[in-house]
Amino acid sequence: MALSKIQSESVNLADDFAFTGTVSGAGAMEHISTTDVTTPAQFVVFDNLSTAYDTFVFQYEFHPSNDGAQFGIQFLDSSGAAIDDADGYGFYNDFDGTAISSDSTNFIYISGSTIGNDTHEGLRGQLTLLGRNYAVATNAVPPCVIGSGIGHYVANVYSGGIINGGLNSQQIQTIRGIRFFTTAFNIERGKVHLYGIRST
Amino acid sequence: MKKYVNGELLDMTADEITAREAEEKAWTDGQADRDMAALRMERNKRLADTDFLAMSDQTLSSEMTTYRQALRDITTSATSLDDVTWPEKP
Repeated sequence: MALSKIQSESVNLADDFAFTGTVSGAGAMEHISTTDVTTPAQFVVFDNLSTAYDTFVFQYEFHPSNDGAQFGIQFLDSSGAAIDDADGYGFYNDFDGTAISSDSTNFIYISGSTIGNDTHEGLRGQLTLLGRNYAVATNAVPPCVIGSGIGHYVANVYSGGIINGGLNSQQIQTIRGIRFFTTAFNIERGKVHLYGIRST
Repeated sequence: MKKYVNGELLDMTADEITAREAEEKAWTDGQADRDMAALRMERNKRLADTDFLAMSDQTLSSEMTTYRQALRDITTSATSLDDVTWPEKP
C-alpha cells in the first residue's frame, strides 16, 4: 500500500496486510535460501555465492549423528574446492570464558567443545561472512567470519561463545563459498537460513 | 556419503570420500593431544589465578608452593579434564 494511500484513508488495524514490496539497495538484508538437512550428510555446502552481495549471514542449527564431534567451517576457493590446508586459517573463539585459538589450522571451529547428539543437543548460531568479493592485493583483510553460537554439549552441558576466524597469511585468495561440517560423523539434521547484504 | 550443495542432496565423489575419511581419522587420532591441551589450558588458568602471590614483593606460603607445584605436575597423573583430580587450593 502506497504511503499516499495510507495517508488518504483510515486503516483498520484489525485487518491483515501482506507486505509484497521488495527491499533493495545497499545495506538491505535479503533472504536467499533455507536449507533443510533431513538426510544425514557430511557437509552442508554453499557454493557460488552471488557476487551481488559482499556480506552473507548464516543462521544455522545442526544436530550431529553421534556424540563427540565439534563443528567447523571451511571456505571454498575460486574453483569451488574446499581450502583444507594445514595453514589455511587462523581463528580466535571464546566459549564459556575459555579462549580457543590457532594461527594455523585447516578449518575454523564454530563450537567450543564436543557436541552431543541427545534429542535436545546440538548447535545453534549465526555467522557473518565478510569479504565474499575480496580481491587479492587490495589493502584489505581477506575473507573472514564473525559470529556467535550456543550449544548443548556432551553430558548436558550448555555452552556459548564467540567465533572469529579467517584465511591466514598463507592463504590470501578470493573465495566463492563455504561449507559446514562436523570433525567426524554426519550432520544428522539441521537447517540453515542464508541471507545476503548488498554492499552497493 | 552425502553432502548438501546449495540445498540439494548429492553423493560425494570417491575422492571426496577418501579425503573425508582421512580427516575423520586425523580427528580421532588427535583426541589424546586435544584432551591434554585442554587439561594444560585449565591448569594454566588455575596457576594464573595465584600468580600474584608469587610476585617478588610477596612471600609464598609452603601450602601455596605445594599447590602450585601440584598443578604443574598434573599432567603426570591425568590425561584429560575427564580424569583429573585437581589439588585443593589452600
